[in-house]
Amino acid sequence: MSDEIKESQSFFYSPKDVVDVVSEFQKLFSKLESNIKHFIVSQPTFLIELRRKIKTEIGFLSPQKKDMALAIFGIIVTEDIIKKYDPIFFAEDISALMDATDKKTSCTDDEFIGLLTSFLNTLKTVTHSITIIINNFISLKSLNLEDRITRQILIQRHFSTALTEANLCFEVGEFKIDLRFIISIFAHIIEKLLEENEVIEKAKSAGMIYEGIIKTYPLKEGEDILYDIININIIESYYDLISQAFESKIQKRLEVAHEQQVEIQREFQRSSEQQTDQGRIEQILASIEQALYEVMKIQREMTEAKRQNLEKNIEKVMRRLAIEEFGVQDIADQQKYMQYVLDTWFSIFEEYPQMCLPLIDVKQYTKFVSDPVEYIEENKQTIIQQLQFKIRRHTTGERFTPGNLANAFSHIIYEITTNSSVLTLTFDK
Amino acid sequence: MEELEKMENLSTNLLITSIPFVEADLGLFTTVIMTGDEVTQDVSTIMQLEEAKESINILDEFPDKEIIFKSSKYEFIDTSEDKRKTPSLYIIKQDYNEISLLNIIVSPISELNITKTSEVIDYIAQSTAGVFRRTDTLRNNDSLSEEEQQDELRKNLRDLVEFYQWQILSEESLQKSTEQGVQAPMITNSLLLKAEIIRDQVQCMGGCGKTFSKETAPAGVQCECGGEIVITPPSLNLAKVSYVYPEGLKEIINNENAITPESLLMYTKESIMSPKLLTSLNQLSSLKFHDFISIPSMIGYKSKLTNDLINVHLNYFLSSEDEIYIFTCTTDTRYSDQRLVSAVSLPVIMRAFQSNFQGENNWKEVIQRSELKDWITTPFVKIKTLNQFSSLSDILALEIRSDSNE
Ligand SMILES: [Zn+2]
Repeated sequence: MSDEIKESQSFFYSPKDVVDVVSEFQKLFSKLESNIKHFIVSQPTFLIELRRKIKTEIGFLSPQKKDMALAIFGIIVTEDIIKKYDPIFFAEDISALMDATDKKTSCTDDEFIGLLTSFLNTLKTVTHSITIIINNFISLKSLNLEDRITRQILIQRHFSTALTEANLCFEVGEFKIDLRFIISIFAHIIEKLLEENEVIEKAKSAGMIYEGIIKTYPLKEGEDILYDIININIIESYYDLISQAFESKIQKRLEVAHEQQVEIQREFQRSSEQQTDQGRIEQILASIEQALYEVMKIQREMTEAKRQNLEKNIEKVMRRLAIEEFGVQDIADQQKYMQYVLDTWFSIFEEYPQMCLPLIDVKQYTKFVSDPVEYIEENKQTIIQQLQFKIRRHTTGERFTPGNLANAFSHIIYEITTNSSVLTLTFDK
Repeated sequence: MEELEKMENLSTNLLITSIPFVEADLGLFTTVIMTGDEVTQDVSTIMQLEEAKESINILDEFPDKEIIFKSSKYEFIDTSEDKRKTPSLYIIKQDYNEISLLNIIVSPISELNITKTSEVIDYIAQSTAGVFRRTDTLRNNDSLSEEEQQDELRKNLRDLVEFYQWQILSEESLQKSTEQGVQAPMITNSLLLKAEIIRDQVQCMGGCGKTFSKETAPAGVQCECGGEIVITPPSLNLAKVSYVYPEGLKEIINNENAITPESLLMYTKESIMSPKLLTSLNQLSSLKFHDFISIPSMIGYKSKLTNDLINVHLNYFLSSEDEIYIFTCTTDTRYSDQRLVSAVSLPVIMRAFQSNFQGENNWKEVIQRSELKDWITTPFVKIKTLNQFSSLSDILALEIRSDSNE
């Protein structure tokens, strides 16, 4: 996977800061608290009208709570706190909210305002997080990941975080709430999006969805259920519908990604043409210099990760060289490439003669150590044979490709730089 | 060569989950994901693996009950060339409430980040606990059958492990970056173990599970019990040990039970892979490592109470085709006494061992020339007779006795 994909934001949802959630709660709470009375006095007709509409739905509330609830809805509408909020939905939501917090039988006025504050903030927070998650989902789909992976990314790195964030909106009001209600808020917002995109006919209210979920999903709390509750009630219920709703956007994103890919390739070819005069061997050397320096000079350990990285770098250079020379990303003249590789090795030995050690006969060690430069010069043919043998062994005798040459090269470097005799020798000039 | 290439491309992720069902035999779930090859569906292999899991639980039976096994890393060594091979093998264990997970990874990734990986396994354990709790509730009010519950657990485990594997191989997010290390640990003791390499063994995959030598029961034939007889990869038989420790270790650790020769050895001994586990893994696919020996290169333990880390770092010296020396250094974040040596010196100590050690004969000299030079080195004792020594000084007394005899 390319680094730009790995670094892309679409792999995670980042939640709000706790401090912000606390201050949002305080702000809305004091706004509702101070405006309720005023609204009741100043807007009698609005309230009468509203009361008629949702009379049965809020029948469970005491007369005083009814007035408060109606006034709060009035404030929501006039202050534009929640857009296009259906009063019936509001009534269904309050009913479920009181159930989900066990406040249906007893609830002080303060608690009531607090609960509605937490609820309204959750509704806003979830609206926001769903927008981001859907956007990330479209990006993920355009990466051509398998659906089962995308589902896990959504559960583990998006919805889990977003669900915890939403739950925090209640925690800051010191309420303990049934997680299934928060899940229902997510489901409701998703259904609204699906309705807008004409994938479903009509979205249900969070309250209504909650009534359904509590019949099928038996657990309401615990960190251990985060994965399961999201998987069952969001992913299994809506994943396919969301894919369907955003199909055209996903397609468009795929096309853009493809065009970018083509452009990158064109760019790459252009830049590689400019480098033709830079020596080929230097190019290969440049791709391994850093790693060699670390291992041979400052005694960092050679690791498999470093080897893999070397392999990638060498392969890149080899491909570029092949494009320069043959116009394709493959090697047409096999012998020529063997020569490049061998020349590169001898340049390495100039800097680090001790790396030649594993290629020579044990009996010759003393001779080698006393004057490595001369030794290499005199025994060049034998060393070449050893190197060729190693390269062929790693490429399993197949025809050279940038991939298998890079693999061979990096393995030989790994072998040599993890050889303890090599590491104990130094020939500092 | 072909085998080796195959090994380098294969990546196996095996998760054995045990869930506390009332019916105990229903509580084991084995999830195997293998990238690059077909997974075996062979029932007896899976059963062997599950049995092998039990043997790993022994690691929890420390004299010091609050120390638990966390993870270990193994390397495959080709004794004919004395080379470490890709892949590496990792074992990671994690518990969540009553659920216990054992994860075995065989992968070309040689530098898995154990901290991050353990977090992922913890998430899998936690999520599985949630699925179990829900399905169990549904089962108790008869809205779910036992079979449906098993299916759900199996399916979720599979999804979770597949994503885990994706994180390792495709996303590469669980590979080594810098690993924690908030507290600088201290080296508390060091061991040199001599082990025989046991080759040419075969094992019955059937009910009896017996081991035979290759001559008496050739692979491919059937055992008396009807089980199939398969090749066992070489395994290690620990023969002798020498201890290296600072003067005053008794006062520093202040727990006599924790520093008996046997308990000090336990940290390493219990992580040498059991032949049974090796054989089952070897059977799992065309992934064959029966030519290689596997030795741990790192074993991690954790304190349940304080989250302190006890790690054993290992290196080896192959003295012949059938004999290997294993050198260990144990680091522990619980102690900070000046008489101990800081783990900062670990790479130097390991490197010194690697370049200087030639065998039993120069062992003391290697220590005297290393950062552990001020420590005490005991003579070698047979591991079989270890229970006769109740303390390290008893072993030391051996030497004094033999010196005075001369
Ligand atoms: Zn048998």
